Amino acid sequence: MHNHKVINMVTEIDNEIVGKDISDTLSLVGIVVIENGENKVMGRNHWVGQGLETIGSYLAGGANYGAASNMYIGSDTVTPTTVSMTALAAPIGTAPGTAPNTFNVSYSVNINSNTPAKVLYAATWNAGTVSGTLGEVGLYIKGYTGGLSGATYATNPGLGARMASADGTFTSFTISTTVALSISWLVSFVYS
Amino acid sequence: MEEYNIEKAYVGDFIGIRGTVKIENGEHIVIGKNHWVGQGLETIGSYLITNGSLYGALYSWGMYIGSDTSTTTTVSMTSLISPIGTAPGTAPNTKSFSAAYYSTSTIPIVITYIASWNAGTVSGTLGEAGLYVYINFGNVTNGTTASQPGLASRLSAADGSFTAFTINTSVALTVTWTVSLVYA
Repeated sequence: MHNHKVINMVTEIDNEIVGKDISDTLSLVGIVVIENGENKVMGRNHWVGQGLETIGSYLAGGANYGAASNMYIGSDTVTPTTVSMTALAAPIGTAPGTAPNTFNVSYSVNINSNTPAKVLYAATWNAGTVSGTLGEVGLYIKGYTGGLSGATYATNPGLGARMASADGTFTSFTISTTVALSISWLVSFVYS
Repeated sequence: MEEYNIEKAYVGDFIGIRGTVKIENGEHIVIGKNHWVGQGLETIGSYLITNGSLYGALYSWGMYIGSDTSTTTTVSMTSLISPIGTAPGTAPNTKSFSAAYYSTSTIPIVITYIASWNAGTVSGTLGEAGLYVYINFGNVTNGTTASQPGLASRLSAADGSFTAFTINTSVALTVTWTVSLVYA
């Protein structure tokens, strides 16, 4: 199973980054695995301001909407991720990008493990539906933005986290259009 | 109030969610870092997975205090050990919250929960305090999970976070719980 494989792949990183005990800080870390035939890369995401804001909106809100996520890819290889970034720099397809053919979200909780909760976003583009250079990927989530107090709910998901070759996170590659492109984005909650 | 010094001014791999608690009761003023419990992270996880409406953390929230001084916080803890008053505890007379997003700050998001008990409404040893929020589990829709707030985070003397004290009943007791989201 693709998802199972990804979870196994992050075990080593989990052990590296997490505290073993309950602590004063909850951390959210995102690990991204991209598979496209012979092209297989893995790295950590970078959170942008919107990502923090929408999670904050949950903690500061009485009524809310879920993150209603999606995922997009882009070809940019020169623009590092910044806090103020709200979209991919050069999406593949019409902005925000070509949507994946399948997109699933799953959730697991094991409060006694090093990574007590995991949210796994899995997207797949069928062979031939996207092409060109893959230099950036974005996890889009939806929520309240605009300063939390008096904020408004976004009508479409916005960039919450990005993994970019320009950040040195992975090496860009040319998409093989003869096979599917799959991205697994695992957000883990850890005590740190 | 924020005591941490490891924030980074750039986009990071991690989002850190931290809580600092200040308790004021006349001559007693203590500050400590909270400990998150499993329910706290589960409800944030539910937000990330849900595609639809759900109640936010403040749909039903509260803050309670307790007298326990010997029980360290555990991941599986769901309530205070020895609440002052009938469980989950004596509700504060007033409570409020504020939230702000500072896009260029090293501490981009600050959410402050404040609870006050009038003089004489609570008494005894203050050894623990709990932030209770509406708890969601998994992929939810409104009203399908918790019917009342649950413990998300705890400050306890047993963890070494502060020194327990006897509540001064002649003055008000105020607890200010500041939750910060930072890049780390």
